[in-house]
Amino acid sequence: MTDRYPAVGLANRSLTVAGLAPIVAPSLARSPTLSPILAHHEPESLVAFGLEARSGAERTAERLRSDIARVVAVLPECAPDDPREILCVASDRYHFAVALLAAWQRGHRVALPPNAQPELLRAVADDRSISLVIHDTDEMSGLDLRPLLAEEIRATPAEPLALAPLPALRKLVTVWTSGSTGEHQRHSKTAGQLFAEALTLAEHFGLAVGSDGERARVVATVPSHHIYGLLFSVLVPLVSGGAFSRETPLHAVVVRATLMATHANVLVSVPAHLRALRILDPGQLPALSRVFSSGAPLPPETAKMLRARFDLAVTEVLGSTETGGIAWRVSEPALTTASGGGEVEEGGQAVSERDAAAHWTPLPHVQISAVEGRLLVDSPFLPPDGPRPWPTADRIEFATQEHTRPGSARHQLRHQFRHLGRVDGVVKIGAKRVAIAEIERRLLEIAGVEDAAVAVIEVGGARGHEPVALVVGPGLSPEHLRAELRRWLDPVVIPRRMRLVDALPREPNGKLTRRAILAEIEQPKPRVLELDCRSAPSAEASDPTRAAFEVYVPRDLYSLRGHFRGAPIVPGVVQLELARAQALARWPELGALRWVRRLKFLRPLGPGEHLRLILDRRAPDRVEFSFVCADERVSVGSLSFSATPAPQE
Amino acid sequence: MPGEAAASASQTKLERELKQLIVDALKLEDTAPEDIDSDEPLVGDGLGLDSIDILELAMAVHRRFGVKTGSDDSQNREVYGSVRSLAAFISTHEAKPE
Repeated sequence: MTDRYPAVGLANRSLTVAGLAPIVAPSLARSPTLSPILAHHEPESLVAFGLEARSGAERTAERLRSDIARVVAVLPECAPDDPREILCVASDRYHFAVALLAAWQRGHRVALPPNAQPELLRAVADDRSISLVIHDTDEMSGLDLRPLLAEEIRATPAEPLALAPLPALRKLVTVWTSGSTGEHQRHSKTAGQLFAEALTLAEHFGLAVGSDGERARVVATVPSHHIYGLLFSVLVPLVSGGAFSRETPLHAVVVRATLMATHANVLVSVPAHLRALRILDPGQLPALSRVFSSGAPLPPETAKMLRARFDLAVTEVLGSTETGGIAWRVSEPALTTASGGGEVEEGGQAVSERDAAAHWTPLPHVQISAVEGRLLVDSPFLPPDGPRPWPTADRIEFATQEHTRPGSARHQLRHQFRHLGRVDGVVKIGAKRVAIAEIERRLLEIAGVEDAAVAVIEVGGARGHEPVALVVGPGLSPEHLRAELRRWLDPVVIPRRMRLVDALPREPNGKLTRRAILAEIEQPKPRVLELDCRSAPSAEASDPTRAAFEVYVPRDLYSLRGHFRGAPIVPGVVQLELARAQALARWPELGALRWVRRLKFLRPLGPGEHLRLILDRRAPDRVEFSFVCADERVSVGSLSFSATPAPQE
Repeated sequence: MPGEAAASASQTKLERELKQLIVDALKLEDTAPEDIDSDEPLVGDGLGLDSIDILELAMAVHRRFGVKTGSDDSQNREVYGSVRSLAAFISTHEAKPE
């Protein structure tokens, strides 16, 4: 085992990112004093491009340097002891890159939020740990990049900035991830971690500017505030002479249009977005040298579809925010033997790839092992101050055959493995990591929620998994609960199956098992059409002109929905119908209802309420009804009947 | 005008069909087609769909009507803004082959 890596080189206090390439990606090494950022760009080389429709969207390396200089000029230097961070919220990837590089140049650390929900962004922005917000949207306040970088300002040119080589141990970004406890965990990445990985990825996947001068042109469907998007769609192009798309297309037709219009050759995406490409006709996507997918396993069906329709193979990357990239594999490598998007790595790897379709291969410089099936990782992409090897939350199983590469001293044992899932209470939903505990905590914070439990079930389709919830919250509707959760959580992880129940199915010791939650959820959902009504034992029972009933409003009464999403109430017509039906059951000779008089609804009736229905037959063809709840009248009215059997319709 | 009335009736029918499609394709078991208001936002505060739902819905719309979404994501956001706007988009694109 070579111990040249991992820790030795990066633990050196004087190392800067300029010294990384010779260690991790020799083919990308340049001057030992030069930052790897833009090291492979000529001044006129592109770093960013946009859709054709957006004229003038292209940005060169020189323009990027001068735009960074513009932002640097208005940014205060970060005091050495200031623990605060800058929050970057930019929908334009070029703006994001400018903000990031300017903040780093001024010594700041940048906070990357877990999602882009407005409420969460505002809460993060107001956090004491945030010194400034740099953004390009009307929804935030802080430093707006748009006027600063606008064309008309450029009359006063800014000197292109020489980027400082950042110390490898400096913390550059803080990623907020979902932790298993439900709190967002802040996780810092050092310059060494980020750039060692970006350089490794660029070299390993052949993204660096080639001898033919071809440069990587990256289109990403994922935002750059996630670590995967940050690395693959921003940092990798910046260190390898490449360029990225400013937009983040989502719909298949837009992804196609962006790829075609920008002559992109790399697509960075996730399984759910790739799956949606199926609506395109065969051959409608251009040849791409790489399609990357991460965040969740690519369903074999999606891999097949991409291969059959567009002759595209997908390079999947396994990793996590904490560990960085761990391993990779290429979907369906063996179907075509000839070239055409299917080649994966120079150096005669084709054979081992063919029999290892479902197996993962560690990325260069990554060493893996397992204890009781749990994956342990050691690599230069790990936090310098964390445990080594790093215990992940992933369960793996080694492939029976270990691929060794004898005769090549620099290559270690290549452990190929199968990924079996995670070991903790965290799941991936639509490639987003979510802690069950966090959904529960947010549910419990909603006013009126008394108890809540969340479990995750497997579902088909792009989602893979989805959370389901049981909630005790008298008077609340699933729509209201979801709207409240949406203020905080990514829409993808909000439970769409939600049952309002009177009590959680807890065991006598208070424990709640996943099985019990699922049993409750899986019950066929009764479409409760009627109020629960039974005769009330009372003195009135013997009175031939009186009848009394005990009424309960089931929480899942079908008619509760629809009227007011946030505030479910029993429609008046449902109360009226119950009174009519009960009157007719008691006195069948009443016949058809002719009209209703003096109808009054005195207050709204909500789910979970217990009340009494009192019928009073004042005349042979007339019944007065009243719904009463603890001596308070809810509704009253007078029903007139034909007093002969109604003709059947 | 009778033509207008007919167009509006077919639009309403299409909206009903779309609501059923949304509920079926996205397995929204807490929602019935008639619960969906034609004008309420599909994403966010209305029906509460997310980007993955919208992609799934785009696939279902393509399967059913042979209509693809446009090549501009900001226009697509408008098209997938509500059942009404989606129905209007489909009815103008359905007849024309691409």
